[in-house]
Amino acid sequence: MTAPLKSCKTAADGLQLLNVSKTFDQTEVLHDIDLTVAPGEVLALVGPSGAGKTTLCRIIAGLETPSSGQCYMNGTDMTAMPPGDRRVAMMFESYALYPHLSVGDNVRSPLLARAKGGLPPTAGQHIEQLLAVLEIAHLSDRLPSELSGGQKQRTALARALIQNPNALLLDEPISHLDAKLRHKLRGEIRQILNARPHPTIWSTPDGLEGLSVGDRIAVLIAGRIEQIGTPEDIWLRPASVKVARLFGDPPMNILPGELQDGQGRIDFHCRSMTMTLPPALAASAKAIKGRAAFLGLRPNGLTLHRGDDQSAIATTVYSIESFGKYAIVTLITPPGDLIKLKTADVQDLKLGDDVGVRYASDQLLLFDGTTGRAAYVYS
Amino acid sequence: MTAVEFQSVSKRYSAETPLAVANLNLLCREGELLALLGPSGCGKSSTLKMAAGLEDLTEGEILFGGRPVSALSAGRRNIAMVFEDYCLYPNLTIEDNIAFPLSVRGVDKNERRQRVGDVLAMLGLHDIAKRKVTDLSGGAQQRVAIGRAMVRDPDLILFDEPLSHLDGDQRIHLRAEISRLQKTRGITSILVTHDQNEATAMADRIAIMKGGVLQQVDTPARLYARPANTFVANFIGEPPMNLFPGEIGDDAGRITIPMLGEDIVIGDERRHAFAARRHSGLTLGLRPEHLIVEAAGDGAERQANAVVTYREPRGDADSLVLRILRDTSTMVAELAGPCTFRTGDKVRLRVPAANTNLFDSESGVNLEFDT
Repeated sequence: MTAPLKSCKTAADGLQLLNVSKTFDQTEVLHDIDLTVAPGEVLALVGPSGAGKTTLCRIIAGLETPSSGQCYMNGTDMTAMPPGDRRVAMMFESYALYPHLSVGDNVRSPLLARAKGGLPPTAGQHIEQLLAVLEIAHLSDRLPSELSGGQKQRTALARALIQNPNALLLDEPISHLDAKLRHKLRGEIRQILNARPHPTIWSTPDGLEGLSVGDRIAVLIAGRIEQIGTPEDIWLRPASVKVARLFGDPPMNILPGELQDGQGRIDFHCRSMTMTLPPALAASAKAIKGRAAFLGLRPNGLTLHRGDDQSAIATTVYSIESFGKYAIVTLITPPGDLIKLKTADVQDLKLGDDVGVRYASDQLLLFDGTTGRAAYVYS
Repeated sequence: MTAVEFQSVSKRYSAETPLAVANLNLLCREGELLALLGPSGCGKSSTLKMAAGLEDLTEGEILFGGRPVSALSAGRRNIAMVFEDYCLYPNLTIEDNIAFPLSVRGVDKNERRQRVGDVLAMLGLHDIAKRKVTDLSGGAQQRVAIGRAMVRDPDLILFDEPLSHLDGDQRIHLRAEISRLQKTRGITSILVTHDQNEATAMADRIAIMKGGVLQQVDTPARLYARPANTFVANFIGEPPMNLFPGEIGDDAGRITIPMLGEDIVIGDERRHAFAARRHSGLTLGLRPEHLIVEAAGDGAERQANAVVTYREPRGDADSLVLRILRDTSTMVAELAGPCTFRTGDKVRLRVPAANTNLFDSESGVNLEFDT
């Protein structure tokens, strides 16, 4: 089955998906995906587990056939091409290492499969360098059964990175590493990819990892692309409540409420507070058809105030987590909404203290309460 | 409430292997949540198991409220444990899971109802108390497990990697919740984790271990600002602290940073503090968010001493990897995000003296650290 093309224009270079959908047993897991990844670009595919990230990668690799739509590589339709002809390297989240081969031989295996008449003399050195960057050089002679989960994952990653493919697919490549190594390796892998001519897709459930590694980010939720943009776009202007909830530690606070027209102003009213919208937000509120709205408050756009303050949201301190560099304070409003705030200094704050929360008006976002889509006025 | 004290505790698993825990002296104060943190093999899990009574001590003693417990079996120590995989009874309701430790101890029905009711209220689970635990998300199941641990008012709760089975947002939520519940009940608790973020978020104090040896025990803020040595400096904080060489100038209040072509003045008070100590050479430590990054060029006016080689955006903060022009070493800076610097930009780096830590180059010991 072939769906009609939305447009016949295909990218001459790189990877392109047009109207790709996939249905398993009458359940649609991918819906009308349009995506391009340019040569040399890293596209971070961010979505919660079950969003369809792995299925999308498997379709590009040729391991699944789309129910409708096309995949193009450098302008050539490869939708019906067998996986072996696509030269797409995929790192599986399940690793798929050869159990009878050592770490070194696992990494060497894709090169051997393509080499006619032996490996080039530099191959051994490349493999060594790559294993060293991934901190598994000392494990080169071990079998996969002798490795921890994180070591297996790095072996699979090395086996994907050693190739010179048409496209590289990294499906949650560092998810099983401990936090320290994850922070370190994501930058180093990203810098290896900087020198590569092929398009790369890097899938992850971690929004911050996506912001860190992607030239652009595609947010996939429940089989649909919610937003595609640069890290700045996604961070500053999330397209929907769903996107806003995926990014940030802690993510943006989202309060459900309704818009009320006052005299020459618009108020946002919810069970925890009523706020007169600042002019920029009042302008974007006009894009919301109904009265229902969500207000987004960034944790780093909020400040604490003691004492009587009419302009502040009345709250009680619910929990304090201090990180050295900053602290996250969770506050509870009398009706029971939790609001998280990120601050450099908690001083003598204690659980149960009554405090007011003020917000910077340029750190507020407004979303349509019915659709969840952001209400922005683009100037 | 009970203080827990480790007195000269050592653990050796076999004659061929090194000590898993070496002469540990550590106090977990009454009502405190103390985290044991370190890379794998550091001895944190062995320490937790000895407190629980699941492993014998090779040497030393553990005291609960001043009483030695090493001769007591796990069941007689009045402790509760929370594991990473919840360990709830799947065919029981939320309420019955929480009531279970009271039922097996024969606590009478009225008191049981009262105490289970208090815990349900604290967890905010009153309305769904009759539901099967298998209907709950992982995060909610772990809250039930915590409620079950707290209901019988143990002397000590041991948390063993309580968040490691959870997804990102549930983890962030439960992290705050554990810290709140522990504070509310004031039960002395020890938490084992390999994740510094979890430890700093939840713990009152953190004990950092490495190779069986305690490195430092302190509040998260103190560990971050004044690490006892370069291992702790590197282990706590993300990205890690910059460590780079410095030379003490003729006037001992002045320190030269050759790679940056910069001098800093640390002032008389600090000069006296570290001048009194023997040291082999000076390593400076500076947190990435304290490194000052200014736009610069080739001219004499604000001449560049580094170039941006990589920018990593992380929403409200960006980190920059910087190559030092003079010796091609690297430093990392963290700026409020999104920042305007890009890869290839030439910059001038400056080191604010007040935020520096001074370490001995050879031993890695913080020269201004008083134990």
